[in-house]
Amino acid sequence: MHIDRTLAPPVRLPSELLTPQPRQEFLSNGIPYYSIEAGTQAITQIELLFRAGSWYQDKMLLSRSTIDLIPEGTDKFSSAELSELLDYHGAYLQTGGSKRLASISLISLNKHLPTLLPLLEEMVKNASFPESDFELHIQNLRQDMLVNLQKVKHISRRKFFELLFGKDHPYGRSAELEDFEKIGRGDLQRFFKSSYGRSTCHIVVAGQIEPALRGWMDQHFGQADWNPGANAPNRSFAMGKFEPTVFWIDRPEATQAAINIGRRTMTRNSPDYLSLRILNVLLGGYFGSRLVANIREEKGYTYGIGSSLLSNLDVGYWVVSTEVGAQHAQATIDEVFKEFRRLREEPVPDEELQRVKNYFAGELQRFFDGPFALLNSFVNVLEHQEDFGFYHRLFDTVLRATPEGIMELAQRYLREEDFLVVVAGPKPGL
Amino acid sequence: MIAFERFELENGLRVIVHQDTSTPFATLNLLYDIGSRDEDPEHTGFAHLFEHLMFGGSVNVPSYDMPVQMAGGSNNAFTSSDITNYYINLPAVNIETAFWVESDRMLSLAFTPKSLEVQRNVVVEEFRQRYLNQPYGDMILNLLPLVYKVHPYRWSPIGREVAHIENATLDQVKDFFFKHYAPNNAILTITGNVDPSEMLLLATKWFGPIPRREVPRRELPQEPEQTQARVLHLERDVPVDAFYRAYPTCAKSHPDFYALDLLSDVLSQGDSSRLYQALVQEQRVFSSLGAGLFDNRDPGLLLASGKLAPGVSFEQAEAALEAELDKVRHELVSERELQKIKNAVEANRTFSEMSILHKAISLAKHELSGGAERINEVVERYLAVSREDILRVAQRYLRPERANTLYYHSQPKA
Repeated sequence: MHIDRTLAPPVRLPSELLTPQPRQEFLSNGIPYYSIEAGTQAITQIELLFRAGSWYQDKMLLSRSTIDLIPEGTDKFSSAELSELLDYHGAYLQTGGSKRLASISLISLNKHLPTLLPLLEEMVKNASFPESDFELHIQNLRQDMLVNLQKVKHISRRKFFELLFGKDHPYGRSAELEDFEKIGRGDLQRFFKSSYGRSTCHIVVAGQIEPALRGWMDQHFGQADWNPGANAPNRSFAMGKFEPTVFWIDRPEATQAAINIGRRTMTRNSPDYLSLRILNVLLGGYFGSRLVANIREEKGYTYGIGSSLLSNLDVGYWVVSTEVGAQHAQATIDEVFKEFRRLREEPVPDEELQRVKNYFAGELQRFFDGPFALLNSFVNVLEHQEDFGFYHRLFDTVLRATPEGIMELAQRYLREEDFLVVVAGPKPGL
Repeated sequence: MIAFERFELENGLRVIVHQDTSTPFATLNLLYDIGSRDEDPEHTGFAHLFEHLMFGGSVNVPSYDMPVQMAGGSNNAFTSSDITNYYINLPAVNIETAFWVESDRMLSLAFTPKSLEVQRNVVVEEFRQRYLNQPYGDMILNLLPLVYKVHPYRWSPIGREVAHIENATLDQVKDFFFKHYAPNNAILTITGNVDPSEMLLLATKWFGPIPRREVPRRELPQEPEQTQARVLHLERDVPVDAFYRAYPTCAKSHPDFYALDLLSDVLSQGDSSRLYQALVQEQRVFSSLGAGLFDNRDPGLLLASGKLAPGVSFEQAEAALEAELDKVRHELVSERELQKIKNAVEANRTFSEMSILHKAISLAKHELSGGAERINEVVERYLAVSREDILRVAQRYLRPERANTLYYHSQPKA
């Protein structure tokens, strides 16, 4: 059989995004409860989300330390007992969070849920924050920070957010070493009391869900109005005016320079947001992007470069990040801006736009492949009080994008003068 | 249980297909039996550099990435001491695109000087980013030559030094390709929403015409038994002292491997593990401490890595670690402890069966080292390990004279 290897086999792409519909219910006490049926293994992920993210903290490190220490001891169990029980049943417990939410997530074989759910209940209702576990946690966080402060990537990133959002805003402020001295166990107990309760909780479950799970969840989390005092107060912070600038942090000994080039953008409900997502992919959001093609594959300045467009509830940002050979720092910045200019001045070729669309459509499908991906995709929109409809609108926007529309967006959003540049690395002599 | 079908093409390419209809995706994975252990000591880092060059266009397909992206897919690769592995994940309806691009680069690369020049630079930047410009990044580069004196595991896949990568020539690249990139030196696995008989047809169509190649027989110097403990002190501008202890172990195919793996789980799997509970939580001599087993085809190693807690000396930390190691060398682990790590093995099998990429890579690795059917036998082998087995391997492999210790001293620059 002769085959012509120069001809690409035909490809097909889905004309619509198929997503399951999460089922929304309420536990008896009113906690919103979402379940997503998926997967072929008898596994369930159960995630409890609390409006207890860093937005609500009045001291640095408070939100994160609280959620991280919730599994480290309760009124009935020591941290050693809790971890032994989880490990004995082959389960995973993860804590995490975003600006607004703090989460605790249990991944377990279904057969062990009746044993493990009471532990999860015990943690989120009766965490005791033992003094010794608290001290250990703070000491380790501090050591991690000391190590991070030697990484140009980290140094550049901290300064970037400070200049983007301002030192007084929760998005702009990073923990300092002295913050470790200012926090005590009592702060965690207070924050736990004020932020973790029935009224701040959402629950999402995904997997091959046992019919009995809904009842178990009600039994453990839905009965009483636990911790009725907890609430997520409305807080607002003034965000100073953003002044694009070039800021260089001199690290003479570094062999690479870490660069962040970014600006503020809009929130998810702004009309341009979905279209900007596709412009972001084209610019630096995948391996075939303009930035990777130029800075890595053409020039060889870096192992990796990318751009991301992120949105919090009230403001978003767009950032290009890379670590490059120290001698290439300025050339990289110039090339990034050159790519902005090309996007403003030249319509993207049809073939390239089609590739971006197809790639992005595949990525969007991947967001729904398997229970863990589904849960994650759902939590990402839940924070914005949206549902999977968000991804359908994004998918439609991707398919409809045109070269003219993209160029017009680039003209409004990719102007060099609107971008902040932060570099940590050896500063070139004048 | 992972069901699969296995075929062998006339040119020696082994093809394994596992159907999973719960996903709209498919993964095509191609494993080449070539790793950094096959490198010339004077040209290290070559297998990995070569992995980068594999993305620089092939004889009939000028770009590898672009058609994959056009098909809604994403792809990546990694190089280890033993293998070089490439994979594509894409909507299953577009699987033929993966066959097309992957077979063309097995047929022949484009070998452009530009690609070599750029990827040399990219890999040098990778070397810097991950190993040189990172606190503790050069640990592994220093540890491996302490443990291995003659075996090529003494260098890491990134290479021994940057110059080896900078000096690579196009002739060396071509020579390397035709020596190692051959259908009879590779294993192709396809997992996901695909039909096995259709995959055989596609494999025959795209990979069948590629000629079998002469692959050199592997003759690697084997590491002699270590009879004397070794130490190395490094001083670096890092904020915290770090401690590393490595013991040479056995090959993955050796019967002791399973007991050793469970031993490393006893020491380090989860927050309830011995090292974390005793040395981080209770005694507070380390701020972090973990241990892992390298599952190599030739004898690997068991490595414990930790950062010292503030105010703790190396002597204190080491003595505390020794005391924990003494326990596993002298006492049986408890029934409950053994049951705990076996439960985790079983749960992890279920978790790993959720990912078609994981299944594709795992099937290929098993096929390489003894047969793909072993993927369904490993859990039984773990479950067969007894407390006595764990004690025996601890006594055999963690003998004090087999210790290799790296003291990574914090010497902040003024």
